[in-house]
Amino acid sequence: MSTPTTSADEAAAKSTKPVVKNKQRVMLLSSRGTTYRHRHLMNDLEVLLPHCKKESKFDDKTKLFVINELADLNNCNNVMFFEAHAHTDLYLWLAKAPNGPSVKFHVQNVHTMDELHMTGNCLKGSRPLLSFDQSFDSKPQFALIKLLLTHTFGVPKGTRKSKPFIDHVFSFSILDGRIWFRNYQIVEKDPQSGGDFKKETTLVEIGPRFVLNPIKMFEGSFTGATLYENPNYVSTAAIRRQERSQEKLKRAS
Amino acid sequence: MGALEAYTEHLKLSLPWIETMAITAEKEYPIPDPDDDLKRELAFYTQALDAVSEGKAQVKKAGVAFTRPDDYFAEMVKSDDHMQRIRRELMKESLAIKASEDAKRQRELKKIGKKVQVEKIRERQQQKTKALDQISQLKRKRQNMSMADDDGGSGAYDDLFDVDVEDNVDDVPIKRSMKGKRADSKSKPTRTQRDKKYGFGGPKRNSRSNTFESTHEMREKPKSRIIGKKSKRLGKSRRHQKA
Repeated sequence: MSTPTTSADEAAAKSTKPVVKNKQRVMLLSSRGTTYRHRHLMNDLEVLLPHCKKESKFDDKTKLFVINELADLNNCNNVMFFEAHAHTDLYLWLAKAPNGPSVKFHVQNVHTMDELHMTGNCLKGSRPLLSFDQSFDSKPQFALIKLLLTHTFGVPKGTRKSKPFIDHVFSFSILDGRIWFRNYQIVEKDPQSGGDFKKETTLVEIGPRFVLNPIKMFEGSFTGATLYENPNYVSTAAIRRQERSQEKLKRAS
Repeated sequence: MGALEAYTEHLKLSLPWIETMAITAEKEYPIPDPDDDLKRELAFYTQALDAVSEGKAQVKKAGVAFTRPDDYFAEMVKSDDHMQRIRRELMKESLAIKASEDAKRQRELKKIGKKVQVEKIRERQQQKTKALDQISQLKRKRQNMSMADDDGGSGAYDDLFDVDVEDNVDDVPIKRSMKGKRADSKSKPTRTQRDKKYGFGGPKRNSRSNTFESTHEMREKPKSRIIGKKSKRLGKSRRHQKA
């Protein structure tokens, strides 16, 4: 018979066994009025993330919480919603599906894989390493964003259509209060020799590139009280308005 | 701010690392100026590279394969077609760089060539003036000689140089303007003569406008040109093939 300590361990192992699997599925969809570049960025993400399900365009500007039902229908617990405004600006919602929280980002500096002539390449559906900047732990809003990013961009182990090797890394860095995304291929020159591999490993960028500027965080998924609001965020409309007024002044003088 | 932390706690997954493979850097990668592309990208790169070195160790520890074996082939994120396009683009870029470098070198060479040419022309000019100088000196000497002794002693000098100096000087081309001045006996030809010689195009103005006669002329309308059938524009793929 086993000693009490071992049986306790076994019980603990048994109780933790069902939750061992990371069950993340992401629903990827956009609003109407996205430009070709936004569409290409979405395609890139769809290719890179095998655990995501692409939905058709969502055509409602006010009742965004309906997306939660869509996510439920697709068995998705994460939502990546690209919202386009005036055919120019792109916003990204990251939400935990039924109950939140959710974040809205302004997506800037979008460069799709197609535009960037980068020589990197990786297996379709291989799981990425996620690399986060140190400053993600410095502020509570960034800590929460980090978790949301891990849930949406981290491909769970054993996902259907995923490949068993790891050959690329998603890098998230905070700079200027914004989150910069990069995707690199891991190139190992000599995988057989187990020497100091740091000398042998290099990275080659694959693309795409984009920058996420957090605007607001909500308690619920697309609804709820505001958890955090970026004080430094200036809306693109305000920027454009200012530009226009300056132009007027210039012309008047 | 309490709510934020509560939600963070709520979202945390108590799973083994291999399920998410998320690595948070322990080091700072300072970027002084976000607009400095090169330094910024280098910081991102080193951050990712350090994450890879740590991630690889962790993956190995979890007993999961990391490196793709050489004989494992599967669909890639970028298709072969896409990679081909990238390669072509890179090739074009390198060719453009090479061409511009070539052009620069050519320009440089041209500059040097020009310098050499100018130098040569100046040298020739110098030689010419020197020669003329010598000749005039010689002439003066001969004159002096002939003045000094009129008993035909100059003949010896004539024989020494086997050239007729006086004739040679006359052969030196004189500028056209000088010629004109010297021959002022010839006056300028008359306007009509000059027109006859050089040609007079006639007044340019009003030549294309209608006159009384032309407006009353009953002519047939010129037949419209038959416009040749344009070659049909090829489809996109074939056009690109051609290019």
